[in-house]
Amino acid sequence: MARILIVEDEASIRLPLEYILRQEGHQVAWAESGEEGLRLAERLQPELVLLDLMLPGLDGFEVLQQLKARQKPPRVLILSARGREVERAKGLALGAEAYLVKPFGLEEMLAEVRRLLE
Amino acid sequence: MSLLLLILAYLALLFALGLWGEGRGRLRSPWVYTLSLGVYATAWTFYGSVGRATQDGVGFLPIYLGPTLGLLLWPFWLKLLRLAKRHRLTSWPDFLSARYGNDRLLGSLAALLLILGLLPYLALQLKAISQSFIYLQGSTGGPQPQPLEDVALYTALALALFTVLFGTRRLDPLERHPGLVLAVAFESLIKLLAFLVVAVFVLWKVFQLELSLPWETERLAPSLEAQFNWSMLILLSMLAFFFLPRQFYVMVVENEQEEHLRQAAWAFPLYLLLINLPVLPLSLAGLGLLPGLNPDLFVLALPLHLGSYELALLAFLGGFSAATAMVVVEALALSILISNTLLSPLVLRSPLQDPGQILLNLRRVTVVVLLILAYLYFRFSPEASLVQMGLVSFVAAAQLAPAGLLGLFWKEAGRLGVMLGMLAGYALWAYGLFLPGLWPEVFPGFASWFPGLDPVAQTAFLSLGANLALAVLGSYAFAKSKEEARQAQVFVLEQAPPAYQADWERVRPVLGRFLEAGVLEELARSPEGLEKAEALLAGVLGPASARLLMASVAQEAPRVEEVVEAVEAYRSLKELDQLKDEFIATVSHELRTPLTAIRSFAELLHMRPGMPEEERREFLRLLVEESQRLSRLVNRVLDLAELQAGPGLKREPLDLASLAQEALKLSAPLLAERGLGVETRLEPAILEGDHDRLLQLLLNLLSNAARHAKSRVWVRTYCEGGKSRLEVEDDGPGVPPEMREAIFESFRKLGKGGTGLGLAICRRIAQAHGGRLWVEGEEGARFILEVERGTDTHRGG
Repeated sequence: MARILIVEDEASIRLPLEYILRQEGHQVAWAESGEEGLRLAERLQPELVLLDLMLPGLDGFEVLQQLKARQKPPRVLILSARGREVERAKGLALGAEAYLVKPFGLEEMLAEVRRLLE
Repeated sequence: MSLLLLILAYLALLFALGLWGEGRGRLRSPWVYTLSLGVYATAWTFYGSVGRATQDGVGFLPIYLGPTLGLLLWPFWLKLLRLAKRHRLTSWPDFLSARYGNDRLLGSLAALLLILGLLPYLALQLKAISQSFIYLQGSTGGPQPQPLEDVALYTALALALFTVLFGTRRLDPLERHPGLVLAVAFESLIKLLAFLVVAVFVLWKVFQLELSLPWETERLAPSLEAQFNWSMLILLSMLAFFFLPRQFYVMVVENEQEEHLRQAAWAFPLYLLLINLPVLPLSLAGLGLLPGLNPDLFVLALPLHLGSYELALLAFLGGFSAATAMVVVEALALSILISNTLLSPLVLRSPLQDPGQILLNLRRVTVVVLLILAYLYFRFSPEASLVQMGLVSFVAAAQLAPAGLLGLFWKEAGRLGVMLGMLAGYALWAYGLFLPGLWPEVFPGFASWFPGLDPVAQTAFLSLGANLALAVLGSYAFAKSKEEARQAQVFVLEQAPPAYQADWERVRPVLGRFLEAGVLEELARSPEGLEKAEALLAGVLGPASARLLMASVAQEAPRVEEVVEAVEAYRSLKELDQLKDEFIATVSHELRTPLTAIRSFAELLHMRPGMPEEERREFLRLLVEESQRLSRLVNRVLDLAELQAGPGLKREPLDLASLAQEALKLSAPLLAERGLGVETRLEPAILEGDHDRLLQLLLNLLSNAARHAKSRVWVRTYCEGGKSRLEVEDDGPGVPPEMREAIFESFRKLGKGGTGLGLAICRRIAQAHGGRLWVEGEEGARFILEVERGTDTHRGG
């Protein structure tokens, strides 16, 4: 049982994530842009954020930095379509706990979520 | 002391005006342009004309009739403007080196000779300022005036500093300085007003005090010699107006629109007329009231003599503004000249960092050196009158005329001929005017040859005659290189130059990174291969990047602007690599998104077999939708790749009207589904092209319109001006003007939905047919396809 925020502009990716996480018994909220994500994180105080890097408006790395600068930073799982080593290293360096490259499997994703929420 | 303060305040005002005007393009009105041409009227006009009129009567006039007549020569100026803009010429030596086969030697020679020739002119301004400063100080009981030489040195240094601050703050590839032009225009206004006010005051006093003036009208009657002098001087000043560096600078380099020149053609002669009105009254008043005084000082001395110190100050300011404007613009123009023709090749060859900054610093040094040279000239020839000094420079500047004018209008003009002519002209000028001005005892000039004639007119006649004759004879006598012949075509007939001359071996590896080997071979054989390559690249990289890439591999002689450009091009080449990477990254990102969704939905259905039927069906629907999106994307990327591979289009006679009907039939379900009405007006519009590709284009446009329309879509085909056109219009939100090019780039989506490649493909198809595709419309979007009209073979219409 955790509060999870999904920041992802593609509905077709968000929808199955949201569904399966709800089934696992989590409270799930989602945002379509970085700005909205930061606003929701402020309000909902999620324990975990699933963050896409290519967002309209505010860049994913920027969102990550601001999330991690908060007093009680949430754990962050990056969902990226850019599989490059540099991006992964940058994401982890900025404080993200885990990094999944699209297309990822739902089991894979669930395993990461479980690990992060322990 | 108050005089110095006045000077400082005036310079500060000028500087503030210049700063304010920098970057304010809107101030470039035709009036500012016209007034900036007034830089022609220098301290020579302000003080010297009055002095000249005391000796020759109306002999001062030819200097102003020349430019007036010169401006009537329309075709000349328009042609020059166009050529200068197209070839980015910043001076006459630039022009000469480009016109005569990109010959750096000729340009450098012309630059050096011009600099030498203009020293007396710059010295004249120094002399005028110092002379008037000392006179005003001395005659008002100020502190003990210093020797003329010292004041002139300070003046030179102050003006050099001012020019450096004003004109060499940054390196602009176009060499435009709107702030400077504004300041120069302002100075033209000041000197005109000061001159007129002083003259009105003097006349008013003369009549009020009923003073008698020596109306010696016989001075005005010209003798035979005077007529020769007159005609020579008119010709000379016309040529000087054309060929003085500062005139080229304000008239051509700083010209914004051809329209401005049209206005200047009548307004500038008017300015010259106005500024000449006071000359005769002032010189007569001076002769009557102040006999024995240096007539070059009349403009200052008359107000003082008649009791107004304030007006004398105004007169000083007028003369000062006339001199500063000239010095600043001339020194700046000359420093650009030197750095473009002489310094930039050296800087380019050296392995120095940041060549731009170095050139800028070199320009600053050049300005200071120039003014010190002008000061030295002044030191060594202290005796001449202002006008005499100016005319020496006029004859020098006019030596560029044969090379320049023949270069503009005569295809046969050749480099060796004009170079010989120029050398001979300058040699005669040096012997007849320049050296006699410095050492009159050693060099008598031509004075003894025809004693009745003015040495200036004489030397001008001899030097220009020899110059022209050698240029013409030399052009016939010496063979011309291929490069010269080509440039002659480009300049005289104004043919567009071949956009690129490049060595294929150098270009091939660069292009090879973007185009396939087969295409490359075909392009290498084609005479316009590089232009075609650019068109192909433009589709991949966008037009700007393609242009930069081509420019960076094309072979051209580097100049200052190109230093700046080369640095940029180098940067852009690196960016280009990134661009390609980015394209691949974007494609992979775009592919990963639907793939992730498909995988998630499928796994979800697999993992939760007991899911409620309704949810299961919804997920299955989404899964199908995402797979369709993925296959669409893959098809388009393949399409793009295929189009990129180049030719392979069929060329069959087609009618856009029947293509439109076919496309409408295929799109009918889509349009009906969205409840959109369709209106058509299909007139025959023939072309030759690839049926499938064009149908694909039309279907793309229609589905685009269907996605954005509110209620209605219009489709029209028709012919216009030898072109066949097709329009697809919708009543949706339309495309904002700043996005109208961007939407044709890959993965630039305006709204949601769509792959972001459709319009990029459409444009590519249009380009492959030698046509254009663009969007316009105030309400809704109107996409227009325009292709060359084909010959109607299958219908016999």
